[in-house]
Amino acid sequence: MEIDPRPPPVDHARRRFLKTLGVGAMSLPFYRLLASSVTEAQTATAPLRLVTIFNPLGTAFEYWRPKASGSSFTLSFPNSILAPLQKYRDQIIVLDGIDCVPEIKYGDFGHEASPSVLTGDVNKPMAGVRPTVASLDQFLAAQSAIGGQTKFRSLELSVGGCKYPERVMSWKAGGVPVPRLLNPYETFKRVFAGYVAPTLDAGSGGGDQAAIDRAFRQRSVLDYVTSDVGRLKRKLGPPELQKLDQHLQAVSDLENRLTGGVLDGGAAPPRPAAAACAPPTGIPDQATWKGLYDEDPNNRIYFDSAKYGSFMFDHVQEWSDLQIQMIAQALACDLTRIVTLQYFEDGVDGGAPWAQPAVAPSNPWYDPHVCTHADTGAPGRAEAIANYQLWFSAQVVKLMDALAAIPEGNGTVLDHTLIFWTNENGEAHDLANIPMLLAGGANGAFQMGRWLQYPGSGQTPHNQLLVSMANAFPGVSINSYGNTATYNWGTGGLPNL
Amino acid sequence: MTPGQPGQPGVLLSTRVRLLNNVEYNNSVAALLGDTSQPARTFPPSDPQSGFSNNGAQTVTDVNASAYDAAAQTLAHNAVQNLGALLPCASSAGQEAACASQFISSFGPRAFRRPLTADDLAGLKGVYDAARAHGGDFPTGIEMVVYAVLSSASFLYVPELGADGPSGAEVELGPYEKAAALSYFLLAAPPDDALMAAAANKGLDTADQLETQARRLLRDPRAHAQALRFYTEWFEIGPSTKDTTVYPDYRTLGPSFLKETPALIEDVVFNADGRLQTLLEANYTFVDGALKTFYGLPGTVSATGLTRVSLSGTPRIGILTHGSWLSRHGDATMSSPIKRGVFVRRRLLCQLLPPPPPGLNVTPPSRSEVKTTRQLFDAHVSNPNCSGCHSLIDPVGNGFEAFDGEGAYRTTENGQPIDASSVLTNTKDANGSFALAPELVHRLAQSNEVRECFARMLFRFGSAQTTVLTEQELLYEAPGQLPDRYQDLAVMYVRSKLFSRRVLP
Repeated sequence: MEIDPRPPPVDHARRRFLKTLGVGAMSLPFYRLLASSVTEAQTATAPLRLVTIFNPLGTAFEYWRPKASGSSFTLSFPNSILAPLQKYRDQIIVLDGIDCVPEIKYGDFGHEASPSVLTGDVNKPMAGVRPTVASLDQFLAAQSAIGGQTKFRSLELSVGGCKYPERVMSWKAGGVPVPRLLNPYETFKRVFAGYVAPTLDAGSGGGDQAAIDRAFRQRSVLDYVTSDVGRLKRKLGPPELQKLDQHLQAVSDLENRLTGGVLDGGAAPPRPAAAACAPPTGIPDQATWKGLYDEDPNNRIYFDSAKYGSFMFDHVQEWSDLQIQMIAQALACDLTRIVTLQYFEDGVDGGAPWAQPAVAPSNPWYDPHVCTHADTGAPGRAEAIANYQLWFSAQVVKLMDALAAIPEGNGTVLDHTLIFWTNENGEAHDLANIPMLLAGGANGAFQMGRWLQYPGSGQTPHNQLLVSMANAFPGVSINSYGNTATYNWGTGGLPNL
Repeated sequence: MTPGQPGQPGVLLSTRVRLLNNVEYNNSVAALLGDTSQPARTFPPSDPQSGFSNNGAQTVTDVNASAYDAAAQTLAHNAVQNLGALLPCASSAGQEAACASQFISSFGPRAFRRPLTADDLAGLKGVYDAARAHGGDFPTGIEMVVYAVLSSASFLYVPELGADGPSGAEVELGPYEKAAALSYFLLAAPPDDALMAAAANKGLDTADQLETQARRLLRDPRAHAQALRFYTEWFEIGPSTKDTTVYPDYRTLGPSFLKETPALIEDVVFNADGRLQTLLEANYTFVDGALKTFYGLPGTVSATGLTRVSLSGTPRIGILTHGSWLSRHGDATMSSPIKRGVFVRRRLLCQLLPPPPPGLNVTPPSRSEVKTTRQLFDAHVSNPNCSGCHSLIDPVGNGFEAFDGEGAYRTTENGQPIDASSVLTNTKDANGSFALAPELVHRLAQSNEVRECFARMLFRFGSAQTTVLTEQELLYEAPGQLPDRYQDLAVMYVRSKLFSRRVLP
């Protein structure tokens, strides 16, 4: 690979060096896998990103479904759940009538939809059955041309939740739930602490010998760890070998993150990070946030029940805002391209005064979970659900606003992002007709500004949507998604999408 | 050859490598380095299997790997601050490399819970040498060795491999593998010197030898914490989510709940007869001031700790009427016959509940039409779509309806009298009608099916795996009456071939 010898026309085409600024090798960006030249970097299209958002407790179709307006549709009407998205009407696709078919046919019902959302697989927690295939985000994260290009293959974040580590969207193959980062300060530390944006340097060589030494020492440790994992791979069955392979992959990624920037050239990020890449500062520290949850003696995390109703109610909006801010900057700085954001978890219960402060505890519809269990025709139910779901709609818009505010190439990061917003339930306490929505420019992969209606009632497996989303990424071409060895959820992408 | 019949092949667990859970990790670094900072408190929570944090399928994800790495770096850095205490030798000039090798030879086996191989020695010495070659002084070299050891699979996993052989062959675990398995099962901690010595000297070859060691470990103070972990995970005791606008006093009661139940478990298992029946039917408990008031008990209690009190003459008996269990198995704003009924079926009777039928259209009743929680869920049983499962679940759960969502006793709900009478069906030996929770508890406490379930649950906890056929094999170990003491069941498992043998895949 040759570097163009001609004088660079713009500043950022010069060779980049990564400054360590005394934070050691811990935090250097990872560009080891990059093969692209500086010239390629200059001309490359911004990469496609995927953000999947999940929230609990279903919908009310009369207030979720758009209303026809001439040849088009509108989201502005009384009680409309999607009303905040009206300003982005041309940048969304409302997916109406898609089913979580694996769950309908074989699931446990109730409140365990999240494991099926991105795996398209069966999840029967009562019977100990978990999804066997990787979730779509983890599948994309594992691709060297997607997840392998960034410091973090993927990020899994949460606002609320974590009572049940297995009620998550992200899964490794073999039924392994990927833990979510709950505490915004933990997210900040993991993603941004010590982050140094690639800077222009006239050629000082970035010669921090101490950092290079540290990186060499650390690499020798991690090389030893790799060989030690390998020594365990003896007479073991496939699940055990898969487990060790996943461990090896994690150590390899860790090694690349920690030492790759220093020891493997550390030059030339694949493309300039978005001009407005600006790592967040001032995230409240752990002491502030640890009140949100508590650890029991068994290291399982619960909401701090003593704080429920005060601290949590007061801070959910801030919590969500911080996670969204960090997602936006992680994408802008190209620290990752694959994100899941889960609000609470399946079957969360209790009131939601941060979302609907006007609803008093004496109101029979105070608890959104109770609403989902009630008869769909019960007076007041639909309005109560709409009122609750409206808050999540507003959070999706906040993410879109944040991405649209970051210039990138000829547009914004939102133009290069696909947002997939989905829900735990449909209208009744089940998984037919899940309210789903795509948003963002998605690098032109989909024609936005549409309301697509499908038969629903178990006839349109969301596995087809997963296929379409996967194939939106350059270099990915699949024909089915889910546990295709056992089940047949149809092939090809979602019709008309 | 029918799997599931006594002594038939195909029921043993396969060879495997089990990742330390977070508690085991903390205890391991405490035993190895004297570091009690509990670094695993910042790790992602253990992924449970059958509700237990011992999970043989636990995998290292990216977030786990970062957490292990950060913890190992910090632990190693702190460990070398007092090099004299860490090293078995003086690091005088010219002796540094020799001392490093000596350190590896003494530290490595304790960390890996087995003698080191030539590969281990060479690999760790290589880490030391690389550190010295890249600007590191002697303490840095040692620090890197500690960092490598704590990051390594040999430390993070408990291997159950035995010797190599043909596929399908049964193999005996090696003596060091047995020592580690035994110690982590009973103490959640690595083997002590005595256990390592037994492993080195053919002291763990027979069932009697294993029992001797097991009974010794069960007297270790750390066995108490481990038993507590088993029972609290089995009974799903822990903080629960309550809406404090509905239950404002939960803020003070929640922490008290989580003191009471562990105190009773500790007392039953280690002071009283240790029987499950006693835990279920204890007519006494341990309360502080808040609980005394909440339970409506007479007398005075300690202002600081817990006081043992009688429950005679109250509507409560045993762990299933504790505020901890009732609130954890209640909803945020109301009671939950579903959660309580499901618990009894799945956790106490070890019954599998079938999932709802395909294509089920779920239309639950509206809350506004009914007054009591029981009425709300009665539609489950009257609707043929729901009744398949809910006729198993709800009648059991209704037995606890005299306790609201946070476990307060009540005789009315929304002005309607509480009806907690019901019938227990579909059990092997506990069927019959009951009027209130204590009668239901009594039926369960007498049941052999529950006692079998106790053994299954301890096996799931101890083996970190749920394998029904293998569990069944364990029950054949005591064809007459299964023990219902924690210690005796643990020993029964340790003596069995399910503990000490594996099948090669």
